[in-house]
Order: sequence, then structure tokens, then C-alpha cells
Amino acid sequence: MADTPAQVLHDVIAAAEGAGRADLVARLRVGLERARRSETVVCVVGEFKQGKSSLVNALLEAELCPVDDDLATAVPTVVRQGSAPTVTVHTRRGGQAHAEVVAPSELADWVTEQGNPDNERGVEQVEVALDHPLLDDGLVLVDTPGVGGLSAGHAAATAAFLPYADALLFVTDASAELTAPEVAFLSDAVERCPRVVVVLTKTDLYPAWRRIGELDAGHLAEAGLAAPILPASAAALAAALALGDADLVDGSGIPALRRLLRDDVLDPGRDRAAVVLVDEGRAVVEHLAAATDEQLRLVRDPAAARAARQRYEDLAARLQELREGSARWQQVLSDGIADLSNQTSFRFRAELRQLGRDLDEQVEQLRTPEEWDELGATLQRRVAELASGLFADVDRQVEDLAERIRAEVRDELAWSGEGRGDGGDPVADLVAAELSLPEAQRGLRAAAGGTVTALRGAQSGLLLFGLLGRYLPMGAAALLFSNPVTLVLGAAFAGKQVLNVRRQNLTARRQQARAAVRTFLDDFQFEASNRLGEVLRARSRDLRDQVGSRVAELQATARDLAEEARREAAAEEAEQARLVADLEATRVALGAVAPRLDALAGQLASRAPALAPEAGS
Amino acid sequence: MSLVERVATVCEQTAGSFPPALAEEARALRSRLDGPLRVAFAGRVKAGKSTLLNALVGERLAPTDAGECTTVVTWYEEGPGYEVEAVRPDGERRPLRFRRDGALELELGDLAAADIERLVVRWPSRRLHEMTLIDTPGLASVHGETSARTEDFLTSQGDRPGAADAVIYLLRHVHRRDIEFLDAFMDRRVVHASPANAVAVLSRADEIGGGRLDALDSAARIAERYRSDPQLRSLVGAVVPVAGLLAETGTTLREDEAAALRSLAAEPDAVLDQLLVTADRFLEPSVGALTIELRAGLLDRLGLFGVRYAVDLLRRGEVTSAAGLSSALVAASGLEELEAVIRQRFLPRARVLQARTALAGLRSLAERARGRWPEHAAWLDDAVERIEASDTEVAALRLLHLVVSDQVRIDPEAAAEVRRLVVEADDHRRLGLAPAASAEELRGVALERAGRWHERAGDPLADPTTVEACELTARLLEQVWSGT
Repeated sequence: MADTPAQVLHDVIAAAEGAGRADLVARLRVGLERARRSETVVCVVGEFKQGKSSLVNALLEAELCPVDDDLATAVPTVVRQGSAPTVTVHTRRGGQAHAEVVAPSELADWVTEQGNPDNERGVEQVEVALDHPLLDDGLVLVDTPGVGGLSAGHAAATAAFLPYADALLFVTDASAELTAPEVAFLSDAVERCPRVVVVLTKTDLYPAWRRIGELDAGHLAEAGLAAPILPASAAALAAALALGDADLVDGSGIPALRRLLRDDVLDPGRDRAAVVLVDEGRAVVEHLAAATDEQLRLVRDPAAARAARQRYEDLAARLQELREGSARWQQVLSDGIADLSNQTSFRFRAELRQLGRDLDEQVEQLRTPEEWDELGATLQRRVAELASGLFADVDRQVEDLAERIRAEVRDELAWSGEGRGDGGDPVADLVAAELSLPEAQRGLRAAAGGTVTALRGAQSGLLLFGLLGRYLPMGAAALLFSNPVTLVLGAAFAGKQVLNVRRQNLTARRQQARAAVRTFLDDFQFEASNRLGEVLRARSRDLRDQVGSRVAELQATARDLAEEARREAAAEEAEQARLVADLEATRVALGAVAPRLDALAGQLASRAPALAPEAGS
Repeated sequence: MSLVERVATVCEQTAGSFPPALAEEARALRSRLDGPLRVAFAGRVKAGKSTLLNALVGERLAPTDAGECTTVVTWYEEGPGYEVEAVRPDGERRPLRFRRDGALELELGDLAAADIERLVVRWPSRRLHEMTLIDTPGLASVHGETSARTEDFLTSQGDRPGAADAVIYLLRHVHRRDIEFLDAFMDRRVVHASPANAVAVLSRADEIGGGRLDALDSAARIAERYRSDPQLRSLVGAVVPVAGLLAETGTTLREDEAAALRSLAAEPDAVLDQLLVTADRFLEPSVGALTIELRAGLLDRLGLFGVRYAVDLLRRGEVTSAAGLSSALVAASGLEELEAVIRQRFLPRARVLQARTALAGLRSLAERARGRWPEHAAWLDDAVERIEASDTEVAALRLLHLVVSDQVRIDPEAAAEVRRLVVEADDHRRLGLAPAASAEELRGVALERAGRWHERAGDPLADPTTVEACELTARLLEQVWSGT
């Protein structure tokens, strides 16, 4: 049986405990926890009443998402692992975020069009926690509002979210073949998401579902889309479970869909998390090994210890300075985030202003109600693109800033370990390594080709989704209300008189449309800036913690070394022997675990295509 | 002289005096006035248009299929015998051979769909005597050219007026605020659509709720919600849920099919539970006594819901005979409600609706004549305007438009009163009175209300459109009072 990353990591933890390094133990525990919680986000999308919520319920064997003949999901619902069923509603009023835990039975009051018409309760997202093996492996299902609804709005919001998702389940029922809008959405989706699966639902009800499936496959092929089509029936599964009919369980297609999610979506996602975890383990092993070797050298060679004493005291002192709030890198970080925030708001304002001007011009040109509608769709699409571009840029720029901070810390430390005199200097290498981005993470970023796919799993995605889902429909509504649709109807009845009324009205309605667009853009800017501020604050906190911890760990090592160097050679021989034995034991433990980590890293690397699906497919 | 006569006269005068190309069209407009009302079926792909058309005719004519099926606009007209012809874009008509095996199977020969402007099916049928039914390819089709054909047909874009006098929009269960929904209604494109000549059908009602036995109750509830939707109210006069497949098969149910259903209903509970759970199971050879061919036939004709529903009826002993089953299916399908709406809303004012289509056609003629023959155009404009300005029925339709498009400042209750007055055809219904109310009562109410509307028109703060609408309403009520 091959090692699992968790098993090996526990042995690394034991070694770190043996070496008395509680700080490194904590670091590994955090890494393990993060890997355990690593999430694979699967977005469930489709037109109205295609059975999205039923599918989510069937996959999780729970009556979770409200399903009703006439209810429609209006708010994104995020389902993830939790020990007990809990429902948390995230709302926002006046720029303030609230989270409220409600009874699962109340879910419909929050997420459906009927329970919460026009989202008057200001819900951005509902989070449902549930205990299920599929979720336990890190699957996160996002049940979305139908993309046909205020169509462009939710479709644009969903499209903006797709780069953050690991896979997309596109739900279409077997009553009819794919329609033109569905194919158009799919064409766009495969560009943004590495894994798209079409789920043909309600196969229990339609005898011709196989033919519909073939027709759909034909439409996909014609559009040049390579997405598998899986038949599924939530109703058949429910009946099968009630009848205790195993054949029918398989016939429902749900088990096959679960398998596909596990093999093609969850496993690659877990591999990605494992790469990061193994990397963390290797970094800690190297850290401990370098420290132990140096300690052994100092214990065994009093002359070297005397020579090194000043050096390590120096290093510890410099690292202490770096831990102070007044350290330069802290300032660079604060300034960097502030700059980023200013630049982003400035760019955002400028782009929205430009968009406003473009739309103003277009409003002037509006002649027909169709153009009016199209403008509404354009508004939604451009706002969604603008916001997702901005969020993606912020994520990328924070990464660049992190790189700058690490370089800054390395420069500030300016410690080259001069004076060892025997050529190699493992401690200097260690300092350099710990203050750089780990290799495998660099690899992952490179594999993602520096594209937005590097965003997958970023929390800001859901934030963006909630924001767009809530605000875009308002943008279209603004134009819808000023649309002179009814006036055009009149032309058939009335001829000239109404045409005159229509002209006056058109001017008034154009003004109304312009004002509505401006108000919408202002509101959106306010809300989006708030969200961006939150993202930046969180990222800045993470970055500060991360670099701060590395510095603290290095300092602990430097202190140990300095202490070792200070120890008088006259120390008791028995104690010295014990010390050497301890250090050697640690060295042995590290020597045993290091190859296992290397082997794991090798295995994961050999599955590299799964780590970068866009390169593999 | 009646409205239709006046419009007919203008058509004839135009035909006599306009240059030949346009004169030909005027003659076509004139001859349409004598024919039956033309009712088009419109909606997104797979909305169930052909199925519903068959149900209304009471015969399986239009071909139906799981995949997208109708690709050419097809007219179903009454005729002395059975014949089908293809009309080419250049107007050439070519008879087509056809077979009838269930639905019609046409042999297009060397004609491609793109070479055909429309198909005309002539069939002896009582239903087609009252109205010509027009089947259209669905909107939002993956095959863009199919949808384009429907848009061409239904819209007045370009130089030709729409060809239908009334429209039945089919929509499947959708979202309340779906823009697609409005698109499916094509309200902005079908220039003639208004609550007076448009009805929405919530189609495939049997599939709502996954084909559970109470699906039709859900459908009724959803239709009720749509009915109160303001956006929808401004577009259509009624929303009716119809289970098209139940309706079609109900009207055309054969004795052998009823027999198959009866033997199905006689199966033990355990077998039925197995059979009716999914469509795939229903066709599983190892379960049940019925042959696979018979089962496949039933599933094709009724759908899983229809089979469940029919078996339930038979087992509860509510019906036994084929005739009983047939009428029970039709009653459950909602077809009768749709027929009632057509009978009450479309047919009584067929002549006005046809006249209105002709007037729109004449306007379009005038528009096209304007460049080369300005004097002809001016004459025609004038003639059409005179009819529109003086005829109360045309005025009534215009009034309805003003009210539903919110251009008139009156309270909602008054708006509902106007709507009823214009949309309904029967005088009692128009005034919202019980059918038992006496003629005296009816006249009394009409007169009293007319007075109130005159008062409203006299409001010094009212804008011109509102004044006009109030006066028109008063005029319509006075007509009810005088019985003309």
C-alpha cells in the first residue's frame, strides 16, 4: 500500500515534535487542515425548470434544495461538508454583510423566487452544510439560478464565476433537444471552465431520451464542443430507493454521475491539494535537516561553534528586526496593498465611466425595443466582464506583490552566511528557500499558464458571483422599465397619432434609461469596491501571516543554533552525548521520511496532466 | 356599411387603381376578408404546437416527433378533398404527394425546405371551416434558419404585414421575469398581438412536476399565477394550461388503444408499480403481459403521465369504455377551456380582426407606393385613416391597447373594466354581470357606467390620451345600451 500524503505528513510532524519545534508542527497541522478542506467547486447551471435542484438533491441523497413544480431558485446555493445540516444565509444591507443561521426548512423562503421575490431580502448567497461522503472529499456544489432568468443577468454572473469553478454540470432535460441559447452558453462555458459535463435530466419521463441525447451530441459536435452527455433521473433514483431496486438505481444514472465527479473532478482537485501539502512537508523536512546538521556540526566542532556564534546571534537579531511591525517589508506590504486598492478603484471608476459614456451614446441611438433589450444584455455582459477582469487582476497582482515582499525580506536580511569557510552553507540556502515561493506551487501556477484558471478555488469567486447575481438583474430591469415596447405595439392600431405620442415618449424614455444606467453603475461601483476592499484586506492578512511565520520559524532556528554555539565546550560529556544522540535520532527520522515525500511528489508529478487539464485535453 | 364592407371597398378601389404589382396584393387582401379567421400557433421549439393543432382539429395531421419536427410554415385549410401543395417563394404552387400513417407524411421530392415558402394542407373538417390553422417552426431553434422562417412569417418587418389574424402562443413553464419569455411571446415583433387576439397556452402541462398524477393541478396553479402577471396581461387575453398530448390522443383515441389500456389496468399492483416508474421500465420486456409494440404505442401516444392517468381512471372505475376514456382525457387536458376561449374571444369578432389585418396590409401598401406613386399613397393613407378614425370596433381595439400599455391614467379597477369590455364578446361578460341578469338590468348598468366615464373624461386635469380613452369607453358602453 502506497503512502498517503497525510500518513507521511504525520511522520514529519512526529520528527518535528522530536526536534522540539512546536512552530513547525503547527505549520504542518495548518497545511494538513488546508489540504483536508481543499475544495473542488462544481457549478450546476441550466435554464429554468430543468431539474438543477433535484439533481443536487439526488447527488447528495438529501431533500435539501427546495424543489417544487412552480418554485424557481433565485439565489446561488453553496453546499459543502458539515457535521450537522446547517443553513447560513449571507445578506448585505447598506454595504454591511450579515450571516444568519436559519432552519433548513426555511430555505425556500430565502432562495426561491416566490419566497423572496426580486431578492427583496438582499440575499447574496446561501451556504448549506451537510454530511455526505461526496462532500467529505471536498466537493462543493453550487446550485445556480436558471440562466434563462432575466437571461443575460444570471448567465453573465455565472459566466464570470466559471473561472473559479473546477467543473460545470450543464443541466438540460430530455423533453427537447438543446436550444440555440443553450448551445451559445455552452460554447462560452468551455472557454472558461476546464471540465464541462452535460447532464440530460428527467430521463424517467421521456421515452425518447436516448434520441434527444444523440441529437444533443450532434449539436455539441457541430458547435465543436467536446463535453460528455450523461443521462440522469432524480425521480428514478427516488423510486428505486423506495422500491429497493438496485437495477433502477444504476438506471437512474446518478451513480455514474457521482463516479464521474469523483474520478474526473474530485481526484484531480485532491491531487492539486496534495502537491501543495507534500511541498510543505518537504520544506519542513529540509528546514529541520539543515538545522539539525548544523547543530551536529557545532556540537562536534567547538572551534566551528566559536566561529559561528556571532553569526547566528546576528541572524537571530536581524530576524527579530524583521518581525517588528516597523520592518520595512511590513511597510512595503501595507503600501503595496494600498496602491493596489487605489489603482484598482481608479481603474474601476475609469472603466465604469467609459462604459457609462458608451451606453449613453447607445441610448441615443436606440430605435427599436429589440435594441433596447440588447442594450440591457450588453450592460450586464460588460459589467460582468469588467468586474471579473478586475477581480482576476487583483488576485494576480496580490501574487506579484507576495513575490516582491519575499524578495524584499531576502534583501533586508542580506545574510549570506559569510564565514563558514568550507564552501557550502546549508543554513544560507535554507533561509533563501524559506523566503521564496515553494517549487511545486510555482509549478502549479506555470501549469495554469498564468491564465485565470489559476483562480480556481479562490474564495473571491463566490463573492463575485453573489455580487453579480444580485446586481446584474437590476441593470437589465433599469432598461426594461424604460423600454417603449408597449408603444410599438400601438403602431398597429393607430397610425400617426400614436406615432407622435411615441416620439415624445421616446425622448423621455431615453432620459429615463440614461438615468437608470447611471444610477445602476454608481450603485454597482459602490458595492463592488466594498467587495474588492474585503478581498484585499483578507489577502493582505494572509500574506502578512505567511511571511511572518516563515521569519519566526527561521528565527527560532537561528536562536537554537546560536545557543548551540554559545554552549561551552566544557559541557558535561554525558549531556553532550545525549544531545548528539537526540540530534542523530532526528536526522534518522528525517532521513526515513524524506524519500517517501520524494516518492509521493514523483507520483503526483507523473499524474501531471490531471493537474493541468487544459494542457492535457 | 359595416367595417368589413368598408375595408373591402377600399381594397377593391386600390386593386382597380394601383399599379399591377401592388394591385395584385390588394386583391389578395380583399379575398382574405371572405375566408375564415387565420390563427397561428407560435412558441419556442418543442412547445407542442403541432400536437395542440392536431387536438383542435381532432385529427392527427401535423407530424410530431421527439426531435424538432416542424421546419416549414404549414397552413391547414378547409377543402372539399384531401390535398397538399407547396408554395414556392416566387408564388408557384406545386401539388405534393402524401401518405397518411397516423400523421401526414409528405413527399417533398426535389424540394428543399428552403425552396418552400409554406405548405398548404386542405382537408375536409368542421373545425377548419371556422378558422385556418397555421403551424410554425419553433423559435430559439439550434437550426437558426428554422426560427428565422417563423419570424419572417409572423412579423411585419420588411414590406409585408403579418399573415395571421390571431395568435395562440405556447409557452412551457418558465420564469416569471424571463426575458426569453417575452421573446417567446414575440410581442414586440408580432405587431398585431394584443389581448384581443392573443391567447397564451401553458403547454405540455402534463410534464410539470415530473408527470406525477397531480401535475395538472400544478399546471392550473401556475397558469393562475401567470394570469395575474401584469406583463403577461398586457400581451394576452387569457392563459390556459393544456396537456397537448392528452388532448390530441383523447380526441383521436382508438378502440384497440383503449383495450390495451384496460388490460394494463388489470395488471396486479406490484407489476404496475414496476411498469409505471420510468419510461424505460415501461418498455421492459420481462414485466407485464402487454406486448412491447402495444406498450411503445401507448407511450408514444399518451406519454408516461397519460398512461399513468388513464390507468388510474380505469382502475378507479371512473370510466370503462373507449368513448368514456376519450372524453375523460380531453376533459383533463384543458382543451375544452382553450376551445371556449377561442369561441368566446376570437370567433365572435373574427370579422373585425380580419378587417384589422387588411387595414395593416393596406397601410403597408401605401408605404411602399409612397416613393414612386405619391398620389396613390396619399389617397390610400387617407382612406385607411378615415375608417380607423370613425369605426368603433377598431377604436375599441385601440382603446384596449392604450389601457394595457399604461398610457391612460385611470385606477386599476377602471382599467379592468375597460379590458373586460373590449376583450369579451358577450354583453353580459363585457359588463361583468351574471348570465341571469335581465336585458333591462344590462342596459341600466351600461348607461350608468357610460355616465361615469363621461365624467372621467371631463376631468380638467386629465391628459389628452386619458380623455380620449374615457370617451371611447363611454361610447362602447352606449353601444351596449343601445344594443348595436
